[in-house]
Amino acid sequence: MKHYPDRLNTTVLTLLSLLLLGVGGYGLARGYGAFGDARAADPVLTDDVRNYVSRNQNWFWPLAAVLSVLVAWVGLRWLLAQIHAPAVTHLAVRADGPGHTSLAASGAATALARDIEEYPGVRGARARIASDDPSPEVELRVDVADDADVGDVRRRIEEHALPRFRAALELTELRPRLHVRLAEPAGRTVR
Amino acid sequence: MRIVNRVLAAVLALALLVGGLLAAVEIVVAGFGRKPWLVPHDRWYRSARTRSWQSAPPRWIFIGLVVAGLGLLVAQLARRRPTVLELTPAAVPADVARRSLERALVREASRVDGVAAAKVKVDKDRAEVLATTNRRRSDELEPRVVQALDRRVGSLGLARPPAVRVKVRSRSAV
Repeated sequence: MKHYPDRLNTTVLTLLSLLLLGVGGYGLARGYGAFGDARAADPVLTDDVRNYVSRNQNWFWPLAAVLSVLVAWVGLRWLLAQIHAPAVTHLAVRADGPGHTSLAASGAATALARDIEEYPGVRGARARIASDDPSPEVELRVDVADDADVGDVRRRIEEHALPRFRAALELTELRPRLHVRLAEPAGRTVR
Repeated sequence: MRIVNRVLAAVLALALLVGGLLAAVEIVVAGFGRKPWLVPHDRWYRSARTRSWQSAPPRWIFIGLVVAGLGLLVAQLARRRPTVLELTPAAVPADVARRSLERALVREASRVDGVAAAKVKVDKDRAEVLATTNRRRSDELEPRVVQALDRRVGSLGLARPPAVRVKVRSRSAV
């Protein structure tokens, strides 16, 4: 499994590399006469392009400005994705009557992590609600000591912590994902 | 490589952000008939009208684009070790962080009597272990390290447990 920004980066950088190769390759091929000597001798900005822009300048430049702002916005989103992964801030709690009740997602996640930290062999736990569409997606990072049984910790999480969490929030569906890190047992150091 | 990608992504994202804003501002400034603010696009425009595709400056720019594109593509296609190894499928999908597995195997190997130090590299289907011993003879140590690490890897419930390969090096031989 790759983390969210890593997957995004690989996709965007691959597309960008193909774009650079395409533009650069076309420019070199044209310059070296692959499309004929006349086209190689053309100016980079041809009269056809200039005429087209000047004929349509009433919409061309406003559109170019809007597209530039859009590019800047995409750049901003991409930059922010490097800093933090998206997370849910509030979870809607099912209610029978009128009105709307929500719960701070970080509070619910912390309670879940505390629950897991109680298990024998667990050195630490963190929980994060990554999205709530179509159902809450819970990412668990659990540090399991060397002398603990990973399978047992996993079973407890599946059969105890997550059902409790689901019941407390009255969730019908939950999409959990467990990331285990193997840790030194308390009081030991690596030689 | 992920770090390289993060840095590349941050730099390119910043370039898109700044470039996009600058382009928008320059278009607005030019719309009011003013001189370019920061980007000398009037000079670029004149140059693009006079220089042909076969002249040296555009050619160098295209060579630069091809080199940058190739570099980026190679960086994306390069084989990387996985960050996590999946555990056997169950109700909750789970994985183990590769680095933590490597450190756990170092600790496990170091617990074998006679092993002074160990280095472990885990890949998708192999765990390469280099153990160092202070003993003169290392041949009887290898099966014990393999056995200990096989047991440790087996206890995790990995979907595809990596095969453990151990080399023991005697310090006296170094």
